Amino acid sequence: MTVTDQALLRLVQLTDSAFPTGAFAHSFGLETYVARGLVHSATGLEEFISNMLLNALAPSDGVACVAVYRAEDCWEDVVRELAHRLTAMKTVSEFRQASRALGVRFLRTATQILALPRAVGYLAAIEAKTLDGHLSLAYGLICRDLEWPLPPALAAWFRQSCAALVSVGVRLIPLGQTEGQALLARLATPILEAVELALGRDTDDLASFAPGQELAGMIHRDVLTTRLYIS
Amino acid sequence: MALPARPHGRLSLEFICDHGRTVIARQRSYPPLQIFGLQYASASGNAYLQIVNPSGGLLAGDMADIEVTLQPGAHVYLTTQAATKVYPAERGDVTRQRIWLRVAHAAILEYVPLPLIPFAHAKYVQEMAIHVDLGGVCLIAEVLAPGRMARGERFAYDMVRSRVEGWVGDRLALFEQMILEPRQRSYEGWGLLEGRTYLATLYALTSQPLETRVPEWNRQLLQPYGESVGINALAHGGLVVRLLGHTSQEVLRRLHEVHRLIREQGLGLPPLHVYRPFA
Repeated sequence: MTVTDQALLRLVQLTDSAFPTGAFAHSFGLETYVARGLVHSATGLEEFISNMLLNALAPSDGVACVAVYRAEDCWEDVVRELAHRLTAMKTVSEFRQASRALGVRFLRTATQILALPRAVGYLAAIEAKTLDGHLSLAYGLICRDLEWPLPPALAAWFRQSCAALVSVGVRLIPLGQTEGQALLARLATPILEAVELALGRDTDDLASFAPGQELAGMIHRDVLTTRLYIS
Repeated sequence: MALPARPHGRLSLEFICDHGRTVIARQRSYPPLQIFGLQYASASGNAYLQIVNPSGGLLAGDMADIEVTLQPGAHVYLTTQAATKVYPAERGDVTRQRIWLRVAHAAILEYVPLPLIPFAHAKYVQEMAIHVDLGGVCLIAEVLAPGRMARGERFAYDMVRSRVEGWVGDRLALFEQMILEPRQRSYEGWGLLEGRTYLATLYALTSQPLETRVPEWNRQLLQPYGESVGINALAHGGLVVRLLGHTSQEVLRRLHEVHRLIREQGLGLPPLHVYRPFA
């Protein structure tokens, strides 16, 4: 499926790092790695981001995003079930709170500038505290409301998640801007692999395996004396 | 002539609290699963029990079901006599284990099996469902080994797929699923196992508030164990602990220490005197 010119412009706008979701304030455990001197080069950063993408983001949030996008008449039940499941699955409290905060910010801004019937319904349920907020579900519903084809929509979201972590690495390690962009260009291969993975699994296979990243997220607040990021 | 079906082992146990002592109210077991005589681990009347598999492990195509129910007030520490060894999947047959744990109000179940060791070419699927009533406690501690390290087997299994669903009251408190295929993908790098080989997880499912102690425990454990242990609160009550290590002994000892911390400082239980092979 191709993306129309209009859809392409919206996709670029909503997945741009300037779109106010608050993603810049989260490192998803990366700050712990840099503070401990474990991730200290572009190579280490690339390994961390690519592992996070293929072992955690795509098989859990990616699969959930695809499922809400594909849901038909009973889409509200699918969102409810997946919202509960993702909350129970995000065992690291900072990652759970990040998913909620980013999801709510994304929904608030997007629903104010575009007509998004399903996304509006989800935001109302989150605000009424009947459902938990998750960025992946918000994004899946927005993609559906705007009738974006899934493969480029997923690629754009994963690219944006990678770019946010590259920018954390560039600031913390630190790395040069060009080095950061070269790394982001290299991440195209795992990003496209992650898209295939998310499209090919159903919600019975919702899974995640990133024990190192989870440990780093679990101890981030309690153990690091200086922190620049919320997660 | 058709080959006989592989054994479908089953173990079903129900415990009650009888005048302060936990006793078995109902017990059914089908080979190869058995239990090893009930003992009392402390003066408080809690039961200590081992699951025994005399066949030495789970073969390809085996199915084992374990079902444990605790009625109000019962307290059981359940372990296995030996590590759970999963043999190679000849002809591609998957080995399956299903575990159901039900814990009533004021009951405490500690399910602490010895490590799971998937041999080279093993294919293993485990599903665990835990239901804890409000006011009950279920502690589950599991260790996944990379294989038979002594024989040089390291992540040589074909697949380990493990799913855990935990309910506290009527809320889904915990959902985890890992699908590991180490012959197809490496789990060595940053964010994953990072060169360590043993993965341990401890879940504490309970409506009792434990999260206030978490920051203190994380700081306390950093000193002796470095960044190999982390504890976090779940969204609807309870905790999860992750632990990574290089040897079975190291991981079991540390896991036991965290378990002790949670049960004594978090739940206010008396010290437990049980036999652990690494102690």
